[in-house]
Amino acid sequence: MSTLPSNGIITGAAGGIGRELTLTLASAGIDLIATDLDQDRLNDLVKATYDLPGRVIGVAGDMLDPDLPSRLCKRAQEDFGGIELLVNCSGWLKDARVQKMPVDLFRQLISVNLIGPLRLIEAVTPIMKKAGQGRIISIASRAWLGNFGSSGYSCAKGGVVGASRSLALDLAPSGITVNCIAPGFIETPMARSLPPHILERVLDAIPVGRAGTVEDVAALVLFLAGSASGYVTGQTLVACGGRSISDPITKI
Amino acid sequence: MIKVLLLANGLDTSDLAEALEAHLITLCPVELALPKGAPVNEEQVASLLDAHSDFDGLIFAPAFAASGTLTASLDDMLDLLATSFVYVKAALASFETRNVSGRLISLLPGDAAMGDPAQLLDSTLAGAMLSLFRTLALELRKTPITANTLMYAAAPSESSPEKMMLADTQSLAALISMFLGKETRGVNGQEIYALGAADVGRLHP
Repeated sequence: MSTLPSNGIITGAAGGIGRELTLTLASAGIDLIATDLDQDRLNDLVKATYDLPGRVIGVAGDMLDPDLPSRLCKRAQEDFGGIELLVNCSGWLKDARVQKMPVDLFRQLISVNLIGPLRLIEAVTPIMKKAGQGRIISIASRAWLGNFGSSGYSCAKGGVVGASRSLALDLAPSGITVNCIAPGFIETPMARSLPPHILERVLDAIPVGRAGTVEDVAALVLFLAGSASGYVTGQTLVACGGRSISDPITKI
Repeated sequence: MIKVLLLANGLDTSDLAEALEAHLITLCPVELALPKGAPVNEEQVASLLDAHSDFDGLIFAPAFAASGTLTASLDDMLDLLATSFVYVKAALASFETRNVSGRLISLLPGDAAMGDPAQLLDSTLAGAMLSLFRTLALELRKTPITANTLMYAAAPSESSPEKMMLADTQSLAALISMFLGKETRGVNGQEIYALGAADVGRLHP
């Protein structure tokens, strides 16, 4: 039987995947500091957790704000007495082929998807080190393997995977595991907003014949958060319905 | 002679330039390379590449010369990646305008790319560049242009201790020559670890 952490921080908590992860972790009794840019959706999320065994505290904030990590850590330590789990789930995607992607957009994609999560990891690790335990889970993306039209997003997620490999080796002696989950196409509001012809092409390219669900990702997060995964570190678990081993999409 | 431009920082590439000459390749370090905090100016980069209008390929070798704290270096990381991206765009525009089968090559520190606990910054940067080049390769699939990655082993330079020196320039020169060849159009999106088997037995990123 796997023992779960008693508390943690989750980013992007009110988004498609983040919301489900927050509900799953709180249902499992984990107290969470949940952060997201959108205050209203965060409030709505917190309300949805009232009857769950884990306590969820919403702290609105922008991952681009350099002060956000220290605010989140302070709050977690004050309210929960530590940080045993970090789930980096914030993310933002905007596609364009390389030649058509403005440099400012590229910078923004790197800032949100790579720089923000790294800042938070750096803030959390001293606390976990002191406690001699911790779980860091970053929601990367199958785009890390390369994804037509997603140069900025893919580059950022590749950076997260690269950082996680280094951190996993650095933090292993301190009892901290660092892993990534690379979801493929997951049914979220962001995914559903794709133009129909692109959506059809993406779904056709998934060998299992369906989009992934947020529950598919939540199951992996629960596994990596628990004591049963203590021997798993520095890994990137790809949950993509087999798309990572099938033909890539080379047109959008 | 084949002409290839080099964008590098923190890397002593003098031996590589010499090794490439044997393959009839001239390595031209670009004046505005990848300094820390380099402003990203698309017009400046385009005009810089125009000055080398006949180049056949572009080698990217971004790296952090010294390890620092993560927070202090994140802005530099962003600048390095954005600057590389601007050069990618400018190089593609140049290749397409000239209608040539240009070559983009990413030269990355292999130990950092594999995951090095002492090199968080370079591991992050290498991971980001790897994925950028994978996506590039997919987008270039139906063009004569290719994007490939080479992992190198390095040691501190004897002449410039603040820089890293490539450990096996002969192998790297041979591989770069292969990537630059017109007959290797089908070699696209590949990653070669020229590390003397130091990566064998480990999961590649």
